Amino acid sequence: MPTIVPNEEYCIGCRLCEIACMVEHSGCSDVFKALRPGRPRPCPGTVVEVEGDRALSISCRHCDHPPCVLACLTGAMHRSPEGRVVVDRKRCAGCWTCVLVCPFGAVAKGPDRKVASKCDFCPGRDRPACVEACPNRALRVVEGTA
Amino acid sequence: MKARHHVIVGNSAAAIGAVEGIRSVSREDLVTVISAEPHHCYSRPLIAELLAGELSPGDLGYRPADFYQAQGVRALLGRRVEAVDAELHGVTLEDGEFIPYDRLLLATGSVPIRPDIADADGPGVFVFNSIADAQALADATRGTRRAVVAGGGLIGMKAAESLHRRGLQVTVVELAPRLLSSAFDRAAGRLLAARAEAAGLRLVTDNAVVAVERKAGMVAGVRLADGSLLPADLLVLAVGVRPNLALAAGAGVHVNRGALVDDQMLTSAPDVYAAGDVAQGPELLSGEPRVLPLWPVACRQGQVAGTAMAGQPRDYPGGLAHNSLTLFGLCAMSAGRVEPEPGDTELAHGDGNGTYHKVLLRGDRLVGACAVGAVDRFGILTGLILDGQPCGFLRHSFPAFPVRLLSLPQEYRLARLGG
Amino acid sequence: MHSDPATGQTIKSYLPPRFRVSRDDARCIRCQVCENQCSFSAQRYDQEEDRMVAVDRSCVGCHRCEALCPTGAICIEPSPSTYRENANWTAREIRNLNRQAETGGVLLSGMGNDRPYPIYWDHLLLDASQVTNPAIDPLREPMELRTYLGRRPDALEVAPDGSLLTRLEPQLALEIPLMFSALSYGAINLNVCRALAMAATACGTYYNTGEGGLHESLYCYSPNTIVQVASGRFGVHLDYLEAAAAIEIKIGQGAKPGVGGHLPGEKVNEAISSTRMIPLGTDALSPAPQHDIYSIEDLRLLIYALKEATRYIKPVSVKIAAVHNCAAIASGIARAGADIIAIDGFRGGTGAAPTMIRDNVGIPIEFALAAVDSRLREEGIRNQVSLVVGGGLRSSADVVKAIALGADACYLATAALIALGCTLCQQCPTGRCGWGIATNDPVLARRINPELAAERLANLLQGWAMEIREMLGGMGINAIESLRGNRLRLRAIGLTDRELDILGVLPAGQ
Repeated sequence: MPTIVPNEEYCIGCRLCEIACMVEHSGCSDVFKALRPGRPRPCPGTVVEVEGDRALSISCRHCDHPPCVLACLTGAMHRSPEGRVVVDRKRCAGCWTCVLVCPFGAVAKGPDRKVASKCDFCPGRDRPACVEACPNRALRVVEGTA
Repeated sequence: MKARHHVIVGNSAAAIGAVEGIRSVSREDLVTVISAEPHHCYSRPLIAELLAGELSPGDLGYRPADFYQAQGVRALLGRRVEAVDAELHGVTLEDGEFIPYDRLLLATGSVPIRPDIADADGPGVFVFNSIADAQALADATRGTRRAVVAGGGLIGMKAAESLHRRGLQVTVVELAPRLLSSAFDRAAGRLLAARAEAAGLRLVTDNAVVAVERKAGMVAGVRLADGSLLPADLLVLAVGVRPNLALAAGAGVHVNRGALVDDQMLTSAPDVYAAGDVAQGPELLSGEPRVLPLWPVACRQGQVAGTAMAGQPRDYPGGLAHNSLTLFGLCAMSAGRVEPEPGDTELAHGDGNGTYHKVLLRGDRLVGACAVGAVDRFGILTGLILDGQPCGFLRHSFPAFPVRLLSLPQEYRLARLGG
Repeated sequence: MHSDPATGQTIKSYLPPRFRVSRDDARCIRCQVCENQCSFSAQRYDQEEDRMVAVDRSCVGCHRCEALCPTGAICIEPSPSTYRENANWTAREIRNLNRQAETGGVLLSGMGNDRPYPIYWDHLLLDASQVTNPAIDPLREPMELRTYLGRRPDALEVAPDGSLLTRLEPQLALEIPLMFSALSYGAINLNVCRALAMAATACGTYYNTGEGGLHESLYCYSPNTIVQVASGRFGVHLDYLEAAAAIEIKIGQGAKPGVGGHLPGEKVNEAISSTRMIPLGTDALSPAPQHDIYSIEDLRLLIYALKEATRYIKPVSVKIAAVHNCAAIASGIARAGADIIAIDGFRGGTGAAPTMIRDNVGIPIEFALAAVDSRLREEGIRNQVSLVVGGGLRSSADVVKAIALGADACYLATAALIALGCTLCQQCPTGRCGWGIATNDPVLARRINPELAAERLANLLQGWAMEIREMLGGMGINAIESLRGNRLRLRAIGLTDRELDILGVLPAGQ
């Protein structure tokens, strides 16, 4: 199954991936309307770490054996028919056990602090928004690396 | 290869983990789940929200309504297993039915410890372990004002918060000098206690409930070990749980605190497995068999048991204590050891404003971590404890939080992130 | 600001900023991409006020922030603050004088001469076929852009069986008459070097190492590499010479004739120190002359020493800056045994050059090329060398005109860097290039992904090649060889009779 592989040689830490993710999941296609100050923002599905002279954009690996799905208290974290690890927002109880167990730190508390939030691999797009937005090809979609 | 028949006693985390473990290996093997509780499998930790009145029983389902059917599982719900015949390879139900098995999983969970309290028998005294318990307790709160919760651990504090949300004045009585000592250290415990007190909870430590004072048969108060009297309308017993070993002895299963199992969840009795709160299985850090009555541990143990039962055992390095708790809006997480052992390096830091972080290192190996207030990406630390990855860098980077994957060697990232 | 060593007092600058960061706050989403991308610290986020704040004084006009801003909220403008109009004492002169008053040093700039001298390419026009000698459609007919660089014999001797008796000197084969000019490792970083090597390889042409030496990871691109032996002899050892397809002796470069190369110490890190074979953090100053070349005979010695060392299998090129007597100099170089002469015009770029020299020394490549080509033809030795010209060639049209004037092939460098994002802010000597090109800072250098950059460079070459084919086809020519030195296919406008004479081109209308 394809996953997003970040390349720390060419990540420039610009965070345009985070912005593109937020726009994609804001329900609004205009980046300015989507992220205007004062308007509630979704949590980006990717986290850009910056340390020393390196940066890296880290998102859910959609693991073959996801620890979050196994540990989820309510069964909200599950695998979609397409094989993606997704949160059923209606079932999520906000216990954050997924945050407790994800070894990549790829699950976040959603902006309302009630429901878990994470990368969903942009269903409905040919390529995830973050991969397209990267100005330096530091994100690629690669087959079978989970 | 003839299809096996797996019988699972229990219907909670470990049982469902086992069902999914078996089905990941075999669609042909027969699976029967037998549970004394009548409910579809449910998320036991959510009984706190049930008690608080925020969820109804139908909201607690752990798997979709068609789960048993979709998984090809025969579910005998509301039926109790009376005895196990390990030689004959069969279980006898309360109503007399005998069900043979090729492989048996005891996933009977834990039962609340009932401490020695005078006059505890009778109305107004509750345990807090099941939907039935939560419903009974919720009913009992009508027309009552004051509750005492005996036990300031994870279950006790969740019960206390739920009762508080129902509008009761709640006092928690804890034997130890601090709350939540199984999962959190003194500093973290104190932050959580402070938050609870700020919300209106009363906390009494270094004390215990020794007797119930009744008036006309109803609870009027509780007497504590130091002689003091707390007025109360109801008492919740939450001092701890112990493995439900009712069937183990009869099955010839060796027990210690719990049913002893190897790293495939196999007990001493042939073809008999145990997983979840009932089991005493390998623990990652100590190498000693431990009972770890925690939901994610039970899920994993169930999965390990299931794949082993179906004939495709998977590696299991052992369980790890790890907890995520939100108490009165304050989030706290912990993984691994809570207290340092001789030879451990303890790095701890609190900002004085409700945020606290701690890591325990043994040499370069991370053996414990705790976070209160700011818990983003905590799972990276859990992963480092599980991996045994050298974490000497923490001596320099601490207390920076979250810990970054960029702090680790590039090979670690390349192996896990691809590329 | 600068400290006076005698008194310890700082000498402040009261110059207005050169640029203004104009931000449409209504479109700003406080994403802070501008802050994390600005390598000159001209943008920051003010937490308290929740808004982005610009430090105009620090802005160098590289446009990096503007390019990456996701909402297009930024516009980098020249500062509207103006002095009273003065055609003699322009803002530029005032700024330079103040800088020198502050520092007491030599003014340094990056990239090429930016002064408004006439651009002779823009006075030259190309022919096209109408009616007779019909135009050729390059999409339908074969079009030969293949070019060979090297020494040609005076005559060919062929045996009765058709085999060649004359020994041919080594040639470089180019699929297109374009090469990447010298860009030293150190002035640019390894990611850019790798991109140039990859693109040159993909397009069947060559790139030039400049005087930075050849990094070990680039040896795999040997077949497409021209190595430079410059006055500092940085990184010159036998493996370096062996790794090359051709060797270029650098006498001078168009940006700073008469002055040696200059890599400021800030840009000399571990890898550059080891590749150039110089101490870490020291300025890499190349001497003005090659200290073993004080006459044309000395040059001949070095050319043949290099040929001996590499067993005569690689062409040796000599690169000179376009200066007053370049025709005579070129004649000497051809007779000294060079196979290729590279001439770099006064618009040539650089990583660092004294501003006064960059802007006032050297002559336009158009004149140098015409003069050298004419002289070598007059002396009957034009066939002994190939001519490669560079120095601010901007388009395929400039290239076609250059070939018509007499060049065999063209060197591109500034155009290549612009293809990678360079906006000619001229801050190269600071090592803080916002586009990740003229910097060795690992954080900034990552901004050039060699794979992506190589694609852009290859696109540039392919696009120009296609345009060259179109222009050739328009003239009814199907081989680049037919255009070479074919000055009759050019006409000039707006030039004096003397200029027409030197260029050897007729005025439009004649």
